[in-house]
Amino acid sequence: MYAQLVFNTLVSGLLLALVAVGFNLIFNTTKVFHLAHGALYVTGAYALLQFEALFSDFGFLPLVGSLVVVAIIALVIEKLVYQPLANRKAGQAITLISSIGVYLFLINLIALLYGNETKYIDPALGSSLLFAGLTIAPVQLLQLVTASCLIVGILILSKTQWFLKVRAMISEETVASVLGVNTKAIRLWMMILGSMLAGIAAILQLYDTGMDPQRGMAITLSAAVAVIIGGQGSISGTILASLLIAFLQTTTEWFISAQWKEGLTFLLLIAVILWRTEGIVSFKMRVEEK
Amino acid sequence: MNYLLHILIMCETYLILALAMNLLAGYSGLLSLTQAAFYGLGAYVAALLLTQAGASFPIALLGAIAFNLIACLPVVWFAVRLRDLFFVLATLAWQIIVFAILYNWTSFTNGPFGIIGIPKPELFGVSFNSLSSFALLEGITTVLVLVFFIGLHRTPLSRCFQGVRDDPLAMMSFGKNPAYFKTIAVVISSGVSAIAGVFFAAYFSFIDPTSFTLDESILILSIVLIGGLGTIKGSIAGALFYVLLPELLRFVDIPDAVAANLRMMIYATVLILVVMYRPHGFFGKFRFE
Repeated sequence: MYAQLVFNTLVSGLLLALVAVGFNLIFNTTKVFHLAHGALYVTGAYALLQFEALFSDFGFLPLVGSLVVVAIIALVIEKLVYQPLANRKAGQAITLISSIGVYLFLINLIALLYGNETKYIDPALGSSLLFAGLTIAPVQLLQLVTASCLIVGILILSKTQWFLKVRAMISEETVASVLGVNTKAIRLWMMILGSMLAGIAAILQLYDTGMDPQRGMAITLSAAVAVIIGGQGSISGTILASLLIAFLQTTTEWFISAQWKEGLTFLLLIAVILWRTEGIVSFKMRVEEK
Repeated sequence: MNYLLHILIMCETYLILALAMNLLAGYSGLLSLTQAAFYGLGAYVAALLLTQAGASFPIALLGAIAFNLIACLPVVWFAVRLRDLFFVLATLAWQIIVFAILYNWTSFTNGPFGIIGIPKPELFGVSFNSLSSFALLEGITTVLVLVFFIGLHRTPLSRCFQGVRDDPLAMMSFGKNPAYFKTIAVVISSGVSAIAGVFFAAYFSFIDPTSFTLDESILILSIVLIGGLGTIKGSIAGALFYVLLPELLRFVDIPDAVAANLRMMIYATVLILVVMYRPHGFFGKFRFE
């Protein structure tokens, strides 16, 4: 039973980590507390549903198409809302509000077009496997493999020469731009990359439990908590924190009740904000000096 | 006629909430996302006092306010300890925790099923059963709240709120403790929100936790952001805009299923446009940088 708990934690933790790493990349480069991430997450799943209905015979085309849709929407948000606000040096509180506006707009657009009920899609992957006392649904295996590959990919990307520019921008945006780093392009790329990660996580979730428009907010908030807890700018911290949160949520679900899991996640957030603002992994200076 | 009275009652409720929110966001610079939690706790305490303890309406109202004066302590703590984004996040977290408590503590709040049969207000032997008398009672209360806030914003206390908002360091050099003023602002705002909650509970005779979600908090905050931060006029304009916008949509013959989403889309667009092109809101004096 405990092996099952660990396995489920790992799968949901890695899915959360996909969303959280996306949030991390966007939050650290654009400095926008990107709650609209949840809307892009939901968009990924609904775009896939739409493309599956239109071109189900074309193999990977629906998947690619839905990621392109997510990337385009991310680009539009960056160009129309976040970039102009950044040009005016708007603070984090006000960009957060603009992000909430974008979130409300997109979610209600999706609900308007596709309705509020949960949508399902059957990936037709065959029956569950039994392995050493573990019940492994094939969709979980798909989630596990895809998510781990992507996370490894991101970790490799974060070690590349190109990513140094991103890091430079994360720590000192003005200096980086003076030294010839194209900060606007990096912002854009990170928006697109991060949103695609969220879109993939949503598609994996859609295969498993279905999707409805309201589902984006809960996972984005959990992802945001993971980013804060994981420490500023640290990708490995975010992944670790995602697993921690998934563990917390899965155990509450198993031993108490599914309804408490959000409450407990946010209790953890308050504790971290108040007593360890720098997060669990990073050992840098406190961001928020009192 | 009943339709107009319903709109009037909604306007009154949201005006009280907007005034309370504006004290925090507009006058004190605290971008809080817990207003729905304050409002919901007020509604629940009053509903429990009215249905379980059999208290009279004035007692329930005072009880709810008194409870809220104390129940906002965590938010006071956040306001004193945290700034900017971290304050927003902590209040967001608190909002979700309060919702989880209302939703899960079934033995006390009846969880997702809510509390039914909340009686209409009764004051000095007069029952406010009809819609018009209820609108009148809430109207009088709203005017009293409005007068309270107009009065408050003429006192030196309100200047201190604004001073802490604009430059806490300068206030400290005048020997004023920012933490003290933030505490007062949060406590007043929470207490006033309880009034709106009590009337909300009495008006619908039924409450459940889904009325007090994060979305509601976001809406209340956006009311003052759109209306204008730091002015009474702004709160009034924001509340009217929020309540009347869907009613206008009703006249353009849009099916109900579409109208709810369309209304939120228009609302979100206005919010984005306000944030981008007029950060003060319609009538505001203050903007978040």
